[in-house]
Amino acid sequence: MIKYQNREIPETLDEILQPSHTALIIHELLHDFVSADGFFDKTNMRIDISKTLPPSVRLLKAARRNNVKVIYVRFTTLADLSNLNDPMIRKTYERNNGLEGVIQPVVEGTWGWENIPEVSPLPNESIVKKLRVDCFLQTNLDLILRSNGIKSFVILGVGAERGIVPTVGHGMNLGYFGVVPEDCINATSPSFYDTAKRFIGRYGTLVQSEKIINIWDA
Amino acid sequence: MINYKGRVIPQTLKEIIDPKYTALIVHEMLNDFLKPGGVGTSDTETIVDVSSIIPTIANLIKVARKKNVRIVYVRFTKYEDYHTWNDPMISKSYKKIINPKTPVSTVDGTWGHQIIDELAPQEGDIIVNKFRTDSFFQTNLDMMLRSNGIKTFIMVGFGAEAGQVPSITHGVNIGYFAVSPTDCIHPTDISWHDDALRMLSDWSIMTTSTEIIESWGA
Repeated sequence: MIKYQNREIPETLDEILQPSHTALIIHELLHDFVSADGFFDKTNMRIDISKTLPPSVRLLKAARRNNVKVIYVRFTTLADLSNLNDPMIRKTYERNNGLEGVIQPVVEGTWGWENIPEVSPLPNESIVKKLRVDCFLQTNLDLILRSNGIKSFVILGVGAERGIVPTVGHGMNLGYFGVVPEDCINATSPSFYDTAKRFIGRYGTLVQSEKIINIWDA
Repeated sequence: MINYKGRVIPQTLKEIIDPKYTALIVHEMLNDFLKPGGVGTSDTETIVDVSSIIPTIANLIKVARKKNVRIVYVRFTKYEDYHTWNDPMISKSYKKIINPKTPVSTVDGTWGHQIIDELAPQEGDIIVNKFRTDSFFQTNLDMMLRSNGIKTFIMVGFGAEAGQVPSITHGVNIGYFAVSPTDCIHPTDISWHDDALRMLSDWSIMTTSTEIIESWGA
């Protein structure tokens, strides 16, 4: 512990990851991004999680057995595109040569917006819907973390460069310690993985999931 | 222009950077980071040579003023006692902070916190002090831009990977068009150049100051 001007500040990874003040965030891991017949599969962008899923499941189990709060964050779109602001409409327009018949992934309430069964939420676990990549931007994630006395979060899942980078950055700006198991994250394209890790390292701590599990199980 | 459900959305670069609703944001062009006698960046404690971008930014500011484009300066702000730093920030830099020999950069009100002479603000320009790398994070930047009817910001200056990536991500997510002239931006360290541009191009419209000036018809 660091003692600084009356404050007690976690210093070591053991102190940062104490189960009593840590949450595990399951980021995305939704059918539309990772499953056969999901939206990304149909558009040849499916994210291959075959290597990251087994350690992710082990980490989720370790969190549950140690009473680490588990929170799901899901990117959420609305079928009528009303979630999109002007720059987003423009990008969508340019990509599709118009807006006629445009379909978005992860539309609220659809199968594609559900978590894959290997990591599906239990009845008392929070699900946070986000309309932007940053999990803290105008969502109730900060409220849930604060209400539960959380100081640190571990975040795993897909979309490392899109969603995990700004979330760990925004989280740090708010005062949370962000810890990212590098064997449990995928970028939307593998070529973005190293850049994503480099940016995550600016804001949080990158470790192997086994190290987190060992701390929680100790 | 894209007409979408009653919304008129700028589409081409010329439409996006219409002086009527565009601001030019000058990011972190501060004595402490850039000038002999300055403290340097937090990471390296050395000043950075950005002489390549100073004339292009100065020229862009000059033309922007002629076109009545709002000029906004954003600068990182610290205090000698670090009271704006949260737990993860203190934890990460603790050894430096408690060492009385470590100089503190960009302390509010000091020479190092001032914008370099070549780009000095004029009366009527907006200056925003920020305590985090993300220029929108709990600052009045969004309020100032909205109050002035701004839809688009062009961001130039120092700290491409540190401040511009999170600011532009945040800005686009809250509905602004972001434009990055690559001849007017510089990372804190040249090793970040490619990764910074890659992350920026996910959100920002990448262009040059020449294209912007041409498009303004100046």
